[in-house]
Parts: sequence; structure tokens; C-alpha cells
Amino acid sequence: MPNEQADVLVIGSGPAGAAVTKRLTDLGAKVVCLEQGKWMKPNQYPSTQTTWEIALHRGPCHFSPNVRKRPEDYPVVQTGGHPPTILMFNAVGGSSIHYTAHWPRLHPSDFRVKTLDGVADDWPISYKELEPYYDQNDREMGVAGLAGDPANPPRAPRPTPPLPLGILGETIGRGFDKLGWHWWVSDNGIISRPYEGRPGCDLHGKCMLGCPIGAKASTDVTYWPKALRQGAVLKTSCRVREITVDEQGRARGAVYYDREGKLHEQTARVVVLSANGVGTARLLLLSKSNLFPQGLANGSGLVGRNFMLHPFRFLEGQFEQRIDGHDGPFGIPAYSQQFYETDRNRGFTRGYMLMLERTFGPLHHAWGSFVGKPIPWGAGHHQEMKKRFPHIIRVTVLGEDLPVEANRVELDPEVKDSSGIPAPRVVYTYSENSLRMLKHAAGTARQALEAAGAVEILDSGVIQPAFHLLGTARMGSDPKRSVVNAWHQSHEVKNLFLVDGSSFTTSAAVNPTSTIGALALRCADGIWARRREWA
Amino acid sequence: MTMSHKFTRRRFLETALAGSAVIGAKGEVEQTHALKPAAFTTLDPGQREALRAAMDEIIPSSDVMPAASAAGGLEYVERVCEQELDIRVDLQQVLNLLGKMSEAHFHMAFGRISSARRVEILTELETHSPEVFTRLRDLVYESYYTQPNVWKLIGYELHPTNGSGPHMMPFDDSVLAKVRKMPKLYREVNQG
Repeated sequence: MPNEQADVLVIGSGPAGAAVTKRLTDLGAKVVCLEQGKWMKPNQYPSTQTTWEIALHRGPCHFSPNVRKRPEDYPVVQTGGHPPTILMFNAVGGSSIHYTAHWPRLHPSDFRVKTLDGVADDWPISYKELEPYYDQNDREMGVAGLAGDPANPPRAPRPTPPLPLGILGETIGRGFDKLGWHWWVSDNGIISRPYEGRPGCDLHGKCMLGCPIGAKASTDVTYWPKALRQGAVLKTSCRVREITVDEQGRARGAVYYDREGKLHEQTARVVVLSANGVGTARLLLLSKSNLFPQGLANGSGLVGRNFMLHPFRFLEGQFEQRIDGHDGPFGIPAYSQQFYETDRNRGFTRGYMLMLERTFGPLHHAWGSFVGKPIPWGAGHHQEMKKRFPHIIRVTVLGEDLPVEANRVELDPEVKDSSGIPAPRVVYTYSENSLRMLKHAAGTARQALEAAGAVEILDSGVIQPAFHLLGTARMGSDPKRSVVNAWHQSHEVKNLFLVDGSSFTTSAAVNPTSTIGALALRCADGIWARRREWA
Repeated sequence: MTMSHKFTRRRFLETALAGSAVIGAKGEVEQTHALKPAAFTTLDPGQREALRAAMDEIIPSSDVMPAASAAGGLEYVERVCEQELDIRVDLQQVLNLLGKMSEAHFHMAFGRISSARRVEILTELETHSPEVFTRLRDLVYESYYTQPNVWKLIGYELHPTNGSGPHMMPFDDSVLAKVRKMPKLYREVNQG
């Protein structure tokens, strides 16, 4: 039996797809969302189990689809000068199931990098245009934090108060104070008080392995229950093979496999693709036709290009006193944006954030923690373990990654997923600017840890790039230099919208999820405002 | 101890290859048998002895801390091996390799040689076959630091997310007093 045509078809139920669906459903649209994963069972998250740290190494809740290999996952081929580790999750809630929930915003300058610093391209929108959507997304998701940070424009009072800093946050904060450097308690997508029927955080930590109580704002516990109550339709275990088009070159819907492997087509007046910075590019490249031989929305040849990951580097300071960094919500207790804005005297363009972060438990420390320095085996093992655990404060560098066309997502000619669909192949190499930035940041992170009293510092060095998936269908005003316009509308296929990390024109130097949600809400309003065009 | 049996890279490789040859000499069935999970439902006494000896060199006892096997590591590894094929195969390969190296150079099973000689063999394995050694070391660490009796001794409390969390002082606004006095750090831009 054919599917009934929807007003809007959304592909992907993560931070963007959930926000688009909820907003459009509120406004009165009939929305169907296709999600290749299933609902997670929170009482089965690794964080409920004594062996929780093993999930960082292997098993069905690992962050990498190549490691966990759940039936709903697709493999990702990773290559290039610095082959990346691609992390994502396929379930209702998408990668918000395992994100850290750090919730910073872009700065106004991030939207004007070409004008201010002469690099990359300006975004076609401004901070001011996005600001109300940031606020709306904060209210929908539930955030803990504190307004008043001098490194960011003023913002509305946070929905719930800040989470505890713990010994870790207060100790490293004193180090930044001693240096006269900026730091501030983080906004986190983890509520500190009961909010909209969800309980406040109980401070257990382990948030990246799924929050069983629903205090962490993953969209399966925020947007989706509200969207479903409003009448949205969410179809799980539906793996999309391609976006279909009609003879006029308009998006018609999507062909997908159900859980039994049967093919269906879901049609809609408008199609929104929100499958993350790798998945969205992959689906567009898979959707080739006579009208679109290079893939859908790819007349510019930029689909999959300009792939950005934030350059990361970890430094861990060892302190004589107990730090108990494993206690408390993982999130990010505090951050510094002292080095966020461009200062060309530093030898690179744009900037970075220092995140003052918690740690995992004893097993992760023994394995080498984030810096990849395992506790030595043999006679000295216990002595070294006693020095490190629980005595570590981690400072994580998150730098801005400038877009480079050669960094890209494409289709692998050989590797396929379990449905026979070509897998994405991600090619990535750090730019010289990123490497110079990471070197500078390692120096400042070290200074901060020393000022806080660290007696020894471990440095990861330049690591395999990972984490945020950005830029592969970027926004812009010029169809030759971008894939979508300021409203996330494809330059070529007028009823096709692309919104998620792929939309980012530049990466900025902050975790992207709050911006992805804000962009998605704005995109939804744009679709609704033009609804007479889709009839 | 004198290093009369100190391995060169060449000797190490010869030993490793000799191990493969022995398996090969027993024929294809024997080789396949070694990789089949069904044939490895539990460790045989020799393998168990070798594993115990290896894990207790990787995490030996101290004044306060138990050695890996005394903390329950051996039983843990056996349980994991029953559940996970990849780990079972890896472990069997490394135990076979340790056995061959020990027999070749000390004419005794790995579990029977002295502690110093075990350390010598493990060090050579780490040097010449770091990936194999790392898998063994990480598994031993896993078997140790998932034990509640070990957690007590190192001052770790689990706080699983279906129970009560740790006590933490609420956020104290006064810690930001100095930062609040800083001038604006972000750049104003034309938002048009």
C-alpha cells in the first residue's frame, strides 16, 4: 500500500531533523520523518552498567559505526593525509544520543570571516538573525548555564542554573584567573533542575554513553515526544536509498528500505535532508538521475566538498590533590575563549576554545585516557596509576577548521552497507593553519594547567581528527560557491532543504549542536513562510 | 639477571614463524580448529596457567593492591572469551605465541618460567609485536579495573546512572568575580 503524501518529509531524527519536524508540526504541517535507527532503550545504556567503560573500546554503543556495526549503521571509509575517525549514531535522536551536550554558540564574527579576516566565505545570515532561534532551541531542549559571559553577546537567562563545577572546574578556573585569562561556566544541554517533565541531572557522569534518566538533551527525550503528541509521524528502521525527483526536477520524496528490506517510496511536497555532515552528502551523491547526473543539488560540484572537522588536542594535568574528574556530568564544566578571535601575531588565522573537561573512570585512565599514554605495565603500574587517578584535569583544544575543497565526502567505489548502498568515503588532511593553531593552543593549555598547579602534563600531540561533521552542503548566496541559500533551500531543487552540520559555511570553534538546532528551527520557519509555493 | 636469552628481532620473528609452522604442520584442520570459537569454550589448564602468569606480570601485586589474577581477572577474561569471538581468537593467538617463545628459548611452558624470564618475553612481545601485546595488556587492564574490589582500593565509586549520584557543591557564582570585570572579548560586526 503506497504511503500517503506528506506535506514535508524529513530524513534523519537527530538535532536538526527533530527540530524541523517539531516546529513544522506545531505550525500545522503534516510531517513524516524517516529514521534508519530505532528508539534506544535507556535502561540498557552502558552507563547503567559496571562495565560501562568497555563501551569506549568496543561493542554496540561505541561512538564509531565502524566499530559498533549495528544493523542500522553504515560503514565509513576513512582516508587522506590525516584519516579521520568518523563518529555518529543512528537512532531516534541521532548523534545527540552520545554527544557531550556542550552547548556554546557561534560568535557574531564567525558569520563574517571573509569580511573580517579575509578567509573562506561569510555566512549568508548573521548572528542577530539566528539569535532568536538559539533562544527557542535552548527552551525546547533544556539547557543549564549562566548568562553574562564577556566573551559572548548577552543572552537570555538560561532555562536552568549552571551545573556544579566540582573540584576540577574550580581548580582550573583559579589557574585561568592567575593568568588573567577568560573562562566561564559552560552552557550544557543537561538540565540541572526538573524541566518540562524531565528530571534534573543527578551528577552521575558518563553522559556520552547515553543518559538513562533523560536529563541530557538528546532529541529522543526533548523534541520527539512533543512532536509526536502534535501529530508528527516518525518511521524507524527506514534506510533511505535516494531522494527521488519528478520530471520538472522537483524533489518527489525518498525511496527507502524498511526493516524487512522491502522498498517503499514516501512522497512529500517538500523534502528536508538532515542526515549529518556525512550522511546528507552521501544521500545527495547517491541521488543521481538524468536531470542530476552529478547527484542532487550538486550543480556547483560542492556537495561533499569543504568537509570540516574541528582540530582537537588533549592535554591532561596531573595534580597532587584528588580532582575526582570522573564525578559530575560529563558535558563541559567550563571553557575559555581567551584565544577565540583572530590575532595574526599568533601565526594563524581565526582561533580556538579551551574546554576544561572531566574524565572517564579508572579503566580509561589505564588504557591511556584521551592523551593516549597508557599506564605502564609491570612493577611500576600501581605507583603510576596512583599518581594519575583521580588526579587529572583535562584541557581540550577545539580549533576552527577552515574549509578546504580537497577535504571531502564521496562515494566509495567498493564498500557498501548491508543494503548494498555505497558507503561514504571521507578524505581529510589538516591544513597548515590548523596545525599552527594546535601548536599554539598546546602551549596555552599547558600554561593554564601549570598555573592551576599541575605537577606533570601529558599531551596527546596531533591526534587523528574526529568529532563534528560539517560543511559538505554549505550555505551561501552564490550558487557557484554553495549548495543551499540562506534558508537552506537547494539552489537547484526548490523544494529540497538541507539542514544539519553540512550547512555550516565555516566551522567556527565551538561544538555545533546548539547551532544545528537553531538553524533547523529557522529553516522550518522559512519552509512554512513559503508554503503556498509547495501546494 | 644476565640476558643470555635476550631476543634479537630476528630471533623473535623466527620464534613467531616457528609457531605458525607448527600449527601448519598439523594440517589445515588443526589450523582451522585454532580459530573456531566452538573449540575454545574454556581455557585448557596450560593456557590458564600462561594467562595467569602473563596477567600477574602486567599487573603484579603491591603492598596494597592485588595482582590481576587475585582480583578476579582470570575469571573475567574467561567470561569475556565465552561471549566475544574476536577476543577469544586474539587471546588464543597471544597465548600460543607466548608458549612457543618460552619453549623455544627456555624449554619450559610460559607459566613455569621465572618472573624475570616472563617479563623478558613480554617485553620482547611488546617491542616486536606491539599490536598483539597491546590487545593483551588492554584486556588485562579491563579485567582489573572493572572489579569493584579494585575500585574500593583506588578510591573510585561507580555511581551507576540508575542509582544516586556523587555529592557535589552547587555552582558558586563568586568564582567568576574576576572574569566578570573583563572587558568584552568578542568582536562587534556589521550584522546587516
